[in-house]
Amino acid sequence: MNLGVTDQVIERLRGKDPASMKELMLLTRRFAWETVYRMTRNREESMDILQEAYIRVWKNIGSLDPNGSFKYWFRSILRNLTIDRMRKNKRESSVVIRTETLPEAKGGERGADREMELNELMEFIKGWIPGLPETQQTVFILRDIENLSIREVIDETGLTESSIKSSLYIARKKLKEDLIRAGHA
Amino acid sequence: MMKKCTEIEILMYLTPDELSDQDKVLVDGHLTSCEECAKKRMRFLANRNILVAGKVSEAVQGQDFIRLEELVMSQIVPAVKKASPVLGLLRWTSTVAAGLLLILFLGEQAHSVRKIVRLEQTFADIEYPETPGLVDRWAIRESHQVMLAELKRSGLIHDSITSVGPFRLAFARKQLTELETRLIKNKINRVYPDRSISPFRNTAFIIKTK
Repeated sequence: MNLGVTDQVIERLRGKDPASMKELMLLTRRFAWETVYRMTRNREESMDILQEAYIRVWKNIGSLDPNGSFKYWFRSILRNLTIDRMRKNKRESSVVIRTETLPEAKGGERGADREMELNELMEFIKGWIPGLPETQQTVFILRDIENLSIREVIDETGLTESSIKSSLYIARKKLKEDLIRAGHA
Repeated sequence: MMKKCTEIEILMYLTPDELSDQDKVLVDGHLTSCEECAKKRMRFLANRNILVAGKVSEAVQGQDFIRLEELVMSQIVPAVKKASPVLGLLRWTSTVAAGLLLILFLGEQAHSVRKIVRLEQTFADIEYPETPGLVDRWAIRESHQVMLAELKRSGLIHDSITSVGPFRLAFARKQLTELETRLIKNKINRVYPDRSISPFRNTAFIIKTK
């Protein structure tokens, strides 16, 4: 549940022990990278966000509820930083960060097509997510990008199931409409 | 009875695992008879599948996490030093203390320099015997007595020892700064260039300076 990050590591982080930061990075870097990369689809940008996220953890570890989940707290840092970056990229239209084309999938041509489709969709979504209200943003990312179950989204956000479904409906409908408007669907 | 498109619209944007069994029946019932909604739903599910099936785990390979660690650590380690209030206080205190010591040191140095200049002037007027012989010690001592008297008169010293034992001699040495000692030695060496004469071995010389 907590990515192997023990209370002891958290305590040492609170005590500003640099060695604990190294330990934390070792335990969580894959999770962090995957979480961010799912949204950015860009290695360089993901690494920048990770760097910022770990520094934020270091500075703000005191604000983590002692009874709260480190994983949820950390993921919200990662998500917020990624959304901030998306928003910034959208604003600075001169800086266009392209999603990467990953090596061809094992499924051959079909896999490659799918990958291209994903990249196009992600390219659009990266600019689209920052325009959503906060709750919809969170729910949409957790459920439709990070692929968490409804139960996990409830645990992480504290929202009710009906509220989550309602947010998902509004966000998904808006995405469909905006994709059509942009000529993507 | 088949529901209208608008009546089940909210359900159309939920994935099968988000629908209750009852809602699934409603959706499936509607889709079998509404081609337009069926297309919309297929498109929605396809898009969502594309999103959640991204090959993230493959992309993680080859990431330079060592570089990431270096970058993060380089930014937080200076922060550790800054963040410690105890270290911060110690640093501040030591800076202030160093400043005070520097002021004291410079003050003392200035005082010593002034004192040395005056000693030099005083020494310049003191005459030593031209040819010290077997009675060197007494001759020098006599000269020193003259010098001491002169120094006392000028107010540069306020005490002197005329009869010394080892302990008092050591004490006397401590009262002189290194510069003053060197100055005295130079003076004696100038007067007696062919002899090695220590002011401390031969006489008590100056005891306490102001």
